[in-house]
Order: sequence, then C-alpha cells, then structure tokens
Amino acid sequence: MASSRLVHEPEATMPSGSAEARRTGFAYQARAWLLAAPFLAPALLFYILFMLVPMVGTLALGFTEWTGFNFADIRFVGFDNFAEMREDPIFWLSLRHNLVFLVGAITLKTLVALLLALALDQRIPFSNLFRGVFLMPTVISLVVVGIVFRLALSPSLGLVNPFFNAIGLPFLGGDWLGDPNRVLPVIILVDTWHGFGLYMFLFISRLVSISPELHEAAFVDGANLRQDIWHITLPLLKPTIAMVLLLAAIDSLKIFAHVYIMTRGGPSHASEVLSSWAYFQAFTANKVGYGNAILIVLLVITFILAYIQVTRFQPKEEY
Amino acid sequence: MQRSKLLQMILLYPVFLLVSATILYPLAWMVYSSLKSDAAIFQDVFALPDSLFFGNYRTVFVEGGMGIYFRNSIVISVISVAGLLLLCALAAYALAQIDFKGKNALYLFILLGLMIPPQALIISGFKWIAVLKLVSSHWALIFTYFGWASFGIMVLRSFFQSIPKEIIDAARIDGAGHWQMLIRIMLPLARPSISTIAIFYFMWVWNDFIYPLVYMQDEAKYTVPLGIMFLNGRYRVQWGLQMAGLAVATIPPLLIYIIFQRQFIRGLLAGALKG
Repeated sequence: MASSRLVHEPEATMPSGSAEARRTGFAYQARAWLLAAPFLAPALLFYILFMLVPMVGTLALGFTEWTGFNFADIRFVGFDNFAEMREDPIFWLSLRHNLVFLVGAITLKTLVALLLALALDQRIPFSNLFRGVFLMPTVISLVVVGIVFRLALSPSLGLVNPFFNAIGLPFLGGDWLGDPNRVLPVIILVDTWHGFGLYMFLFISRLVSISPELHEAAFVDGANLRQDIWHITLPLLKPTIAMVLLLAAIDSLKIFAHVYIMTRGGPSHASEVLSSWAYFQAFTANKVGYGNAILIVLLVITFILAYIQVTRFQPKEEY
Repeated sequence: MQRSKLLQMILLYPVFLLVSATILYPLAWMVYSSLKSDAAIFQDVFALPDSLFFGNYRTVFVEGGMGIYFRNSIVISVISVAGLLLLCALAAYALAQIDFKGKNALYLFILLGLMIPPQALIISGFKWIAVLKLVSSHWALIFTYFGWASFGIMVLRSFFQSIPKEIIDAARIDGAGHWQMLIRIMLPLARPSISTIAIFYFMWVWNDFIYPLVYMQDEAKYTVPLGIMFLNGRYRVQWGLQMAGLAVATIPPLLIYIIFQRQFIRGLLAGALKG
C-alpha cells in the first residue's frame, strides 16, 4: 500500500520540484484548512456540542454540590463528593456489583462465544443458518430483552418456574429477580443471552483467516480434532481472546438498561450498579453533583480499559 | 474424513439446536402470546393460541399510543440516520482526501467519541438540553445522535483511503473538484459501506433507551423502547398487551437484520471497534 502511494503521488510526476515547499508553506496550509473546514464543520459541531460538552459537564459537575434546579445554586466543593463516596456503603456495593458483573459477563460471554465459534468453524451443513440465529439477539432492544425476561422469570406466572415444575425440579424455581442471591447471576445470564453474538462473530472472523493448510498439516501429522484445536487454533486465537475479554469488560461497564428495567437496582440494592446509583442520586435524590462524581469513577475505569484496548489491540487501520 | 464429519454433525447439531431454541423460544413466546387474550395466557403460558386474537394490537395502537411512539421512532431514526450519513461522508472525505496540518490529531480527537459511554453523559446532558430549551423535543435526541458520527467517519475514512489512486487522479484530470469528487466518484463507490453504516446507526438509534428516558419528559414524545416500558408499567397484569408492544418494537430491527444480514455481518467487524 505504501509503495503504491509513492508511485501514484501526483506531485511526483510534476516537472517542478517545489511540491514539498508548497505543502509546508503557511498559505498552502491556510488554503487546505479552508478547503477542509466545510467538510468537517458539521460533524464536529454536533460531536462537540452533544458529546464533548456533556462529557466536560460530567467532569465539572462531579466537583460541585447542586440540587439541579437553579444554575445559581451550583457550589464548587472540590473533592467532597469523593470523600462522601468513601462513606457511602451503597457506592461500594454498586462498585462490587459492577466488578462481579464484569467478571461474570466476560467469562460467560467469551466462553459461549468461543465454543460456538469453534463449533461453527467446523462448517457442517447449515452453519450459516445457525450463525444467523445466534446473532439475532444483538439487534433486539435492551428494553425488549429486559421486559421479556422479566415476564418469563415472573414468580407467579412466567415460563421458567413452570418449566422447572414440569421437568420435576420444582425446588429450582423461585422469585428470580426478587431474591438478592439470585438477581445478579440472572442479570448476567440475560446479558450473555443478549450480547455474546458480537464476540462470537469476532472469533469467527479470526478463524476463517487461519489458513486451512495449517489444519491439514496437523491432520497429516496424525493429530485428531481435539489436538488440532488445542495446539493449532487456540494459540492463534490468543490475541483475539485477549481483545474480546477487554471489549467485553468495557461493554459490561455500560450496564444500565437491564438493571433499570428488570429490578431498578433492587431488591434492597442487591443489583445496584454505579450507573443506576448515579441515576438515582441525580434524578430522585436531587444530588446532581454526587451523581456525576459516581459517573466520573465509571468514566475513569472505562477509559483505563479503553486505553489498553486502543494501544494494544488496534494496530490495523482497515477492517 | 467423511466419518469424522458425520460424527461432528451428530455431536454439534444438538448443541446448535439447543442454543437456537434458547434464542428463538423467548422471541416466539413473545410473538404468539401477543396473539392470545389475557385469559388464554393465564390459563396456560406455554400454549400456542387456538385462534389468532388481534385485540392486543388494536388496544396497543388505539389506546396505548403505540402509533404515536412508532411514528416518533421512525421520524427520529430517519432524520438521525440520514443526517449522520451526510455528516460522516463529508468529514470522512476531508480526513481521507484533503491534506491539511493536524489531520491525524483531529482524527484521534474524533475517535475519542467511540470510547465515551453514553450513560456517563446523561445527567449533565439533560441539564445541557434544558439550557438549550430542548427538553421533550425530538431535536434533543436527533442532535445527540448526530454526535455519534465517530463510528461512521472511521468506517468511511478507511474506505475512501482504499479507493485506488488511479480513479482519483483520472477524475482530477477531468477537472473534478472536491465536491464533485465526493458526490460523483466516492459516494457511488462507497455504497456498500454506507449501507452497512446506515443499518448500524438505525439499530442504535431505534433501540436507544437511555437518552429518550432522560430527555423526553412528555409521553407524547416517547420513542418505541420508552413507550413499551411505559406500557409495561401501565398494563402490569395485561400480558397480552405488553407482548403486543414488545413484538411491535422488535419487528423493525429484526426485519432489517434478516433482509440486510450480509451488510450487518460486514459492519459487525467495524462495530466491534466501537468499544
């Protein structure tokens, strides 16, 4: 790619040798900017006004105390909100739930995604049809998923309890979303149902790029399928697995809709996470400053993970 | 080799069928329950409907305001996706084809948008929307979605950069300026990438929940996801109605997925970078 660039650079074929000088000159740069501005301005305008301004707002309001009604009442309080956080047991509980959710969701999603991708990679008939079905949940709204599963898990009616009754295991049933010990694993399962498809697809797209000769060579050497997967495929998938784990971790921090729709953080905060707790603080308890401070914690964790992802796993420009 | 293929099929089909059932059954349950009366649902939640009952759909649309939510969602999705495509195409063109100083820094600055989780912006975003006097206005959502251009810019920029120099040079020799280059040469070539981006943006906008939840305070302005949440609270024990609302909300993205599966799968790879 780089070499073809060099060959086809239009300046290279021009008679005069002043192309380089022209391109660094101030007048040239000013003209180039003027030329580019109308193309870039619309996207940048909305990006700055509706993405970056709220983001700076979150960062700034996290250091204030404000009931959220009157802008004149905003009071700068430095790190007070973060000091308050230290004394707030629900904050720590929420943070712990975020971590439990993170570990649970990435383990389960990665495992399901990897196993199904390896299975689909055997390319038995109808694999594409199954792949299409497995990717279906990713296009369905979080709200729909949340409500359907809340109805299915309903203790009085629902699908799940009658199912356990029908197969003769009634003691497994229960109030799935109302039991503090069950609610978090249930949300993790629902999120896995909804979100494994994307990661499965990432594995598939790496698997198809593994040259078939490698597998053939392994089989010629007398390897069976299990050895082929273990010694050929999995080592080659290692970078993809690492990337998927990190992407799933970042994604898991976005949890809000499932919690908001299925439990509102309950019962008694058993499924509270940072985003739902921040939402409650800002919009119900009218502590906008404190709510934003909680979001800053969430943002910092997300950025650390995103930074690792970008610096370590994005060497390619094109997809 | 042939025997091992057969063995694989015997081992893998049960797994595939089980996973497919886990995925399809809840969706099928939602759809066929929406065609049952509440009495029929409460009698047996598993049973298929004996006769098709469309009353739930009528109630959801006539009384439940689903028609309004649906129209709101369509208006917002169409304007947002069309606007985003325009913004992305323009910006991606400049980033790919015009040489100016600070281009790479600007591109990184735009990519930053892919990392910002939306729920971290809602509180201050709401206050900002209030300052702009846009609370409960669809423009609040549309403008917010216009701010999501980073993803499309990333995809289109890399496509524009991959267009062979020969084509661009030939157009330039024919006297095409930047605008003509974009409209006559680049956009027609980029049609597959553009449809991929459009599908993704449609899914994100249609399914977005958190911004409408916070920004739309007036029931008449609700989008479909917010509307079904509202119906869920209002018809707590009327499962048939809830199922009808859920089915209506699911059909558009599911149809688009089934029709445009190829583009969708192509886009997933680019979407994965969205972090």
